[in-house]
Amino acid sequence: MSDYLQSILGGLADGCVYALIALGMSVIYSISRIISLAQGGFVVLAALCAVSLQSGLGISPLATLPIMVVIFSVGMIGVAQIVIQPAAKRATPERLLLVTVGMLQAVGGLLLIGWGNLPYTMPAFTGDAPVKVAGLSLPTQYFWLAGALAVSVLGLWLLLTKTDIGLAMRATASNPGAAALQGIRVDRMRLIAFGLAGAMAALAGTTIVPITFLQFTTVTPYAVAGFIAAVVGGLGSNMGAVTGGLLLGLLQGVFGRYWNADLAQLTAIALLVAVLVIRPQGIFGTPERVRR
Amino acid sequence: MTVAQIAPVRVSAATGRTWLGLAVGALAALALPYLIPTQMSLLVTVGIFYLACIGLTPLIGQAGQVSLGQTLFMAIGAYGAGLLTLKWQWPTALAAVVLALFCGGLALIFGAAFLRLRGYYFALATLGLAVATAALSTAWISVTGGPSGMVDIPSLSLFGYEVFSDQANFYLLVVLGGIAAWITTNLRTSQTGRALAAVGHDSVAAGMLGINASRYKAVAFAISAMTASLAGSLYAFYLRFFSPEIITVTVAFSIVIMVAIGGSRSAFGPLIGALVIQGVPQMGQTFATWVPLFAGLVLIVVMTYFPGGLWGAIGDAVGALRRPAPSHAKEQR
Amino acid sequence: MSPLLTVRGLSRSFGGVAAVQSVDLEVEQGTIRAVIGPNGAGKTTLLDLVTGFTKPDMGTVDFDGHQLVGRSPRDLPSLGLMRTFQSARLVPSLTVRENVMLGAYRFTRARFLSDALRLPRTRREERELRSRADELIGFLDLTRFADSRATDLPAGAQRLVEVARGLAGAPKLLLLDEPAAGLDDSETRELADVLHAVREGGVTMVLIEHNMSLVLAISDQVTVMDAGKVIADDVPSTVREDAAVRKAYLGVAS
Repeated sequence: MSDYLQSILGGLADGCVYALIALGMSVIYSISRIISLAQGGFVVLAALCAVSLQSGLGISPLATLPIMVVIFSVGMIGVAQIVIQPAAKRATPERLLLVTVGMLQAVGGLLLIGWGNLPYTMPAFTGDAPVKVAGLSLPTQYFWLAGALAVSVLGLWLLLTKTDIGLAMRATASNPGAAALQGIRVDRMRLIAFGLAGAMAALAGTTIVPITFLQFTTVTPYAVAGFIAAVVGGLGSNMGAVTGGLLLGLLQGVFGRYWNADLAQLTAIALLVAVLVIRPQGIFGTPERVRR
Repeated sequence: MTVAQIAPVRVSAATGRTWLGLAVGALAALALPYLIPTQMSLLVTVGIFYLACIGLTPLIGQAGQVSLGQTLFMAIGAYGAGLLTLKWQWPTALAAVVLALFCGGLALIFGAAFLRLRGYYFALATLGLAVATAALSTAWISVTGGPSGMVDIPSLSLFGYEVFSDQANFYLLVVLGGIAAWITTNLRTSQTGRALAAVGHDSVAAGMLGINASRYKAVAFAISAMTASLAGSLYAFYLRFFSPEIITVTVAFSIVIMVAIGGSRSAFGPLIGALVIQGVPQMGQTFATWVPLFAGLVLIVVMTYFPGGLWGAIGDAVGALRRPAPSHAKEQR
Repeated sequence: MSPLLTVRGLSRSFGGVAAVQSVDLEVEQGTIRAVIGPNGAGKTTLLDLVTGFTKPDMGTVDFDGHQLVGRSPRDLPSLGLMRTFQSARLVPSLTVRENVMLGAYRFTRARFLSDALRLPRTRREERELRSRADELIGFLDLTRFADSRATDLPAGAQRLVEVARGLAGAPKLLLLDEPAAGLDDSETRELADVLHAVREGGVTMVLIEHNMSLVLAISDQVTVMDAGKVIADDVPSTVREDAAVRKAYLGVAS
């Protein structure tokens, strides 16, 4: 029994990362209707940057977290300004999708150049001694992961419901044209969305890398996981993204332990395709935007 | 400003460029095995991927839909060829043809469901197919041999001749690639191609002309599936082996990257794309390390500023240099 | 001779608002009918109902002996009905000639295999399509643009290309949605000449239009709509003087 629970929790830990990736994609999508497949790539980039900071400059693993969040929030805003804004003005949605594929590819390439094809990891934030809870042995890093997800979800909720900027963002998400007419700077909202996604990518990457080895090839599985979670959960729905991510992680954890991890992937894909055909807006999304 | 200055230039620029390109291409193709004998496996790989890419041009370049699922059909073509020839002793060429037709039919079925989806959702659904392919090829060990792959696949046997050597495979791919290029060019310059372009631009307006948009998109998707399957089968016969590493999600992305970079509206575009993505990394370790970043950046730039790909951008630049803007003609009226 | 197009009692509401109310319309063969009215009068909805983009709540549309209600817009060109759009929806990646060749689609249909292998039938059809397109292009005085990318042309020329594309389908009835929108005076005069010539060629036309000078210059009959209903239906000179029409337009110069 505890074995079973152990794999569930391990899966949920991965699920937290997927949830954060999907959440970042969801925030970007709801503001700009752009599906950023590159989000998973930025997670790995943040992770490896954190590793380098820690091993190269001797900064403690925990301290890398806030540093990465700041760097990536600002960095993503920069990327959005330089890459996304011009593309969004000129390209059709299909080509924009390919732009994000290009970004994913470029990030992977950057990782290859900067870090080679070796896997990397980092010491845990608060030491290696696992915590014993209800007969289970849990790495302390799991709590940091869950915490990162919780902070993101809570922070996002607070931002969207309690602040003026959040209100403006929600207005843009539900009707960009009307929002623009009301004087809301839609492109600024887009930059903020990307900034938030950057922060989440940093949170995800920095908290997962003590548990798993990451390398330049991890960008694709993370991008795929994020995409599955986001679409099944419902693009544009934050709750859907989190649900989708956790569900996917859970599925992989359980299947991986008792069956075959690839089958987990397959089940997820079958689910994805079924969702796209039967209920394209996902579990929590709204229907109008998807069918012709 | 006379009629002659505006009217004929664009057409003759296009056909002149085409003939020149064809001549150069044919000569190069014949000579290459003798000029760079050590790079033959690279050339074969470029040829294989060219086939997989050229089939995408009606779908991406005309109908405006991006399919990220070429690896599914390549996998069916490859593993299918292995199975049919090893387990059931089918003739290799027959297996390749039947599998291609099967993939065409499969694409029509998937298309019926997927093509109803708006714009990039279709792309995402095909991405789902690519992920499923990667997972299935590793997990379904009884059929595909799992991570260690499928071995002892026979070479292609054509009219009694065994297509075994790199050179033979290369020439075969040149011929098939040429045929595929000819077919896609014919499609592009015919009423079918024009209808596809109309569908890709505005399916509602196309409907008003009597065009059945769904049917055209479905057929374009089927074409991409058939060429991908053929490419997969030929690759399996050439390598005499096939494994999940050949058809990963990254490869699925890179096929679309090849088409997007090179240009989806001509026969040459995918060749440029395939040469850059497959060829350059082979030139040395430094190249291999830097190409992914470079490819990603080029894709971003091309998708933003040059939707016609590099070949299209070259064509536009040449055309613009030789042709004054038609708006001047307004003063004549 | 019975009218080419007969609309009876056509009605359509959207969410409780009657966009088109019980509209009757008869268009005689070989004539030009203009449908005018202030914004929101239901003119475009009427066009959408006739061409099958929207289903009517009530009413019938009879075209050349065929019932149109319930048909997909795709079926119309083969029945002899072609429509142009408000913003000329020419295909940007094709030249003017190619766009016009496409207009004859209903004659060539889907010939994937023949086109792919450039069989003799395709080769023959391409020649025929090309010469017919060139005829139309010449008729509309657009020959100098034939090889240019369609969307590179000035707005007025693009409109004419769209008319040419519509004519390529050899229609009995051509529906034009605001063909003069965005054109200057000289372009509008040219359009008027073209439409006259098209009528001489035996094609019946119905145009939705705001441009009064075009309407008065070429229409044989004018139907005025306001708030979904037909409020006047007569020759241009009479409609011009009609009190109800003047009231509906509230100060539009006539």
